Amino acid sequence: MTPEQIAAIAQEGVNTIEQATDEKRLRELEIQLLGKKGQITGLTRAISEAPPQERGAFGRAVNDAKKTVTQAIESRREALQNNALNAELTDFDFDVTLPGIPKSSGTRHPLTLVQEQVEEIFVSMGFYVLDYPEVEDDFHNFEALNIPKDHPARDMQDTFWLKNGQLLRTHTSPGQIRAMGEYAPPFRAIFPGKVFRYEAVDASHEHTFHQIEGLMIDRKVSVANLIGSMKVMLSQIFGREVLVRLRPGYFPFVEPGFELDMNCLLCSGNGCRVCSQSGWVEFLGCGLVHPNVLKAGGLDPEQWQGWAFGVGWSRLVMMRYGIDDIRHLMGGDIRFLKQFG
Amino acid sequence: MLISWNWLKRHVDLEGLDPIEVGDLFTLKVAELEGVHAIGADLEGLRTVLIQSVEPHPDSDKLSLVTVADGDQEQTVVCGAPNAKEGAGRVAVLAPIGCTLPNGMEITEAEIRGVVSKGMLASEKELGLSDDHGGIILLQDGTPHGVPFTEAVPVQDWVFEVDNKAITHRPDLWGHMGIAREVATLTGRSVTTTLPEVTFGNDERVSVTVSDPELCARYLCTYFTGVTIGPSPEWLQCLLRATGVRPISNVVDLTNFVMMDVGNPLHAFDARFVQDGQITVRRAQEGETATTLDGQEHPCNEETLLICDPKGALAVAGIMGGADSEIRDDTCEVILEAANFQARNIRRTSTRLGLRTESSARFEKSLDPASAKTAALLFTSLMLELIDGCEVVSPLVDVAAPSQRTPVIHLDPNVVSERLGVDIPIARTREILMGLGFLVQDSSNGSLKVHVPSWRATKDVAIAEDLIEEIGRMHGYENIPPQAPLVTVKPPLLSPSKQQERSIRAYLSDGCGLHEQVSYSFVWRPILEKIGADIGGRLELANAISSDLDRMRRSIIPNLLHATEKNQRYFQEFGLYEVGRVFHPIEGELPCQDRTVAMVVVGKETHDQSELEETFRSIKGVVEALIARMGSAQPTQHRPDPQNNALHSAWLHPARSLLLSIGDQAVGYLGSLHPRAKQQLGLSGSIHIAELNLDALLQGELRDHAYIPLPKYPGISFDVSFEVDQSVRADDIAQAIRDGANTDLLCDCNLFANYHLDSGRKSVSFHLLFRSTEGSLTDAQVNEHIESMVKHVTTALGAELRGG
Repeated sequence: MTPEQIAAIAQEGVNTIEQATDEKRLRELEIQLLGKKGQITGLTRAISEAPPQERGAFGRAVNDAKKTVTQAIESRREALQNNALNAELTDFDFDVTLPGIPKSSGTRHPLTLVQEQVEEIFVSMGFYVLDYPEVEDDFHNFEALNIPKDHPARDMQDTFWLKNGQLLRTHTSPGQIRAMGEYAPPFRAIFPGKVFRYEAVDASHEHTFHQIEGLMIDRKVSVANLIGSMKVMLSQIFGREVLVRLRPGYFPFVEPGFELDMNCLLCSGNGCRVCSQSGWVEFLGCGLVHPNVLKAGGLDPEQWQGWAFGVGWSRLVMMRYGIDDIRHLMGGDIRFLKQFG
Repeated sequence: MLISWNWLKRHVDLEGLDPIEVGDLFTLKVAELEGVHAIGADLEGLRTVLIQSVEPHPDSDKLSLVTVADGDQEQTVVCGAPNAKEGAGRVAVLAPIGCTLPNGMEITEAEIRGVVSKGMLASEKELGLSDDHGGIILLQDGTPHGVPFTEAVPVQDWVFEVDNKAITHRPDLWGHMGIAREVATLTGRSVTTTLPEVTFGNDERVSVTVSDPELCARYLCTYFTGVTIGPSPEWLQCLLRATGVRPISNVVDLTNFVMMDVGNPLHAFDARFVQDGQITVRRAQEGETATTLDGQEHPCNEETLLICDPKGALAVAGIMGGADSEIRDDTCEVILEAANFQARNIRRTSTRLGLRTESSARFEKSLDPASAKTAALLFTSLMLELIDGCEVVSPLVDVAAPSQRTPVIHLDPNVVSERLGVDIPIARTREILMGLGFLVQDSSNGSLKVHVPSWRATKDVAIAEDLIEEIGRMHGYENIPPQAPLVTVKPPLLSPSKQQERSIRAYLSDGCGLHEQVSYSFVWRPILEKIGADIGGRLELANAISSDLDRMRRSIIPNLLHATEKNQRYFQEFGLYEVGRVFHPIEGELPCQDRTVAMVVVGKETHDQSELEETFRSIKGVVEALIARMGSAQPTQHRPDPQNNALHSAWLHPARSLLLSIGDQAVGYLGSLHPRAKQQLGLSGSIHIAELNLDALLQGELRDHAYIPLPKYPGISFDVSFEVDQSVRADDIAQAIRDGANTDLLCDCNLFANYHLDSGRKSVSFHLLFRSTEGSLTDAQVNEHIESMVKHVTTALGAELRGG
């Protein structure tokens, strides 16, 4: 084989290499030409068999051909890789609008989300977070809270009674008596929990709902710092300054007792359906702890005072997320639950 | 309760005040108003007219042609009201052409059956004054005519709608007089009413015996003659209508008026039906009955207080009068009752009889016995003033229990400022209290001696805190600048139980993809019934909302299964959990109410043994990791005893489950859902459940959480697989590996594959790691242990080495 013929084989190889459009084809050509059984590898083996006078020229021609082909493969490979990279970098068909797949899609109940927020706010102000029984006795739920038998206030809280004479707490306030018995004053605590009222269930009523009670016992407490604490709580939960107003409210276990209204967040106080056009939403009951309640909790009202509040936790959740049907909270429906963090 | 602005004006000068602004103040400082409404604001254009004549309509029996005079202008109006026919000479209300009625109807000239009507005579309903559409308004004789209606009759008013729930603790606010006292203080004016002077007769025609002074602290009574029953004057009717009371007749209207004014209910008897004028207030005898105005016959018991004459019951005290002695059109002599009854007894009786009236609603608030006398005096003076010929012939009989002394409270002005958190000058304190009717005296030690007026003394105001409320609300809570409470030096950490709950949520929601739910503390009973669980042993409700929710839960699992049932309509694979209390009865004490976490995880359906074990491993792994996250030591795991019929046996698979305990105490369980429960609930998929008692775990040991130093030298890994009988457990193989290797150099021995073979045997693979703390190991050092390990495992467990 003449050097010209060898060069021609190489040239033909180069031509096909340059036509290769992907790396797989290129690899096939590489094997065809330079592999163990490759064409050019075969020529290399033939060098030793060539007549001595031709061996030099033949050998050079074969080596040149091998070099040419190797270079062609490498430059073609580099070109193909560059093309591929360029193609990837300009792949605007890549669909970035496909929905994200979260790593874990578990959720916390919205009651929990608000509870944790409220707990953090109050813990930072020096409050304990306590938890008290749901099944209570008459003493803790009523008597000790200055609601004796035959008191009209018992009508305001339709009670679930157990056959053994115990009851399901109608509010979180029994915790006041329990906390006063457990902690030496001064102390501050909140106690979130489930409460129960005997009433029919509809979009805005549940027989089981949630409240958060707060209690602060100290030598000197005032209405001024009750208002201050309530403002901090509401502003933090709603993430903005919240206007509040206090007006007289009647709860037998506080004196003076208040209803705290919050400026309606939906209409900024201009009046809307949610606030019955008043601009205010009734939000929580609070007041200074009644001396009879302090006594029932074992404290001397001459020495200690306190303030307490009870906020509708379910209501807070509904306001916070704009939930319009209270039944969702206890419904266990994942279509609802999965919407929360 | 509705409160009329015009009515309040009888007690306090409201000149120049805006009812809406006063209403806002009232809500902020006294009690919530549900609304402030204008009445009669849109009655401009209406005229009072004198009916000259009434002729029948030529073309209709029902219609009349009424000729009316508005001053010297006469016109004819077609009218369909039946009472128009007797209207000649009376004063009516004309809506002339061009006038618009409150309901939006515009009056135009209209031809009715061939006769042109120049306007319309109006009914009360058409003017929005009441719901009465029975006929046209016929005003009392003497009402000026030819003038605007609103000038002739004081029909324009404002009404406050007071939220009754906001005044349950204020017996004094159940009448205009008490409200006026508050409004006067709110607006810096003073109450102008004084008690009327009345001269009573001396004819003792009526006598009273109160046999139970405990239930009737006061009973006043007097006798009127010369009574003519007729309509009340327009001003009185307007006030009653504005406050939602339908005018009936002068005597009845006056009892209502005085009740709505003073707050103390009254009752008027037709004297003809009170035998010998002898009234006895006594408890009913067992089996006695009383028939009330509404025609109902009520069985009484000895709790029921009755007003009686020698023949029997005249009225159920404080609740409703009797049918026999009610005021009729021909009544000419009247006996008035003004009394005070015990709140508790009235409340019980009205609840028992299912009879709630305006009267019982007031008596059950603990009325002031003094107001009974005020009411009697006011009623008497109005009777004499408004009914021609009426005389009060008897003395005012007054049978009263010795009156309670009203409390005197010592009030330290510094304490007022301290509790409210704002400086209140002593002069302001005095001004507010005096305005509300308290008598304030200085005391030698700088404190104030405050005498509580009788109308606040029945239950409302008894201690200094009650006075602080009066001062606070009248000073205005908006005038108290908010203050942060003094921060304690050491903010507390979250309690261990709250931290525990947070770790659970962090792991199960954030780590495991489960959804947190909250369900009732009642057990969803249909679930228990479907899966054949014993429903006993649970606390039972005496007044359940429904029989589906009549017991307290002892486990959260049934409620989770209920949710699983519902969610399977929308989701195939999911997990739910709940943190909450469960209830175990304890005789004579509050139940044990431990906090619990329970979960249910639904995965793909499988019947492959290897996959079943794999899914069991994942719930087991979740529970173990959860316990570690909570910071507790791992409880002991053991198989349930099939003989022992535990609470969970209806829902926990007896073979594919583990019970967890600390010492003797069970703290939870995990495993597959019982196949029978799964089938009966119609659930699909592989379902696993777990439940842990959080309070018990919290009391157990803490997890040992010390740092393990990182190894200094590399180790040698070795993977090994054995084929064993299905009855051989992974635990036993691992133990045999450790025993066989018999060296401290073996530091890890972890299962990484487990699958069942068609032969009925299974293949179990472990990853072993040998390492020394002293230096790098050589293969030779390790091989020796591997050989003895393989030998031991194969002989001890009948295992076959599959690879390694």
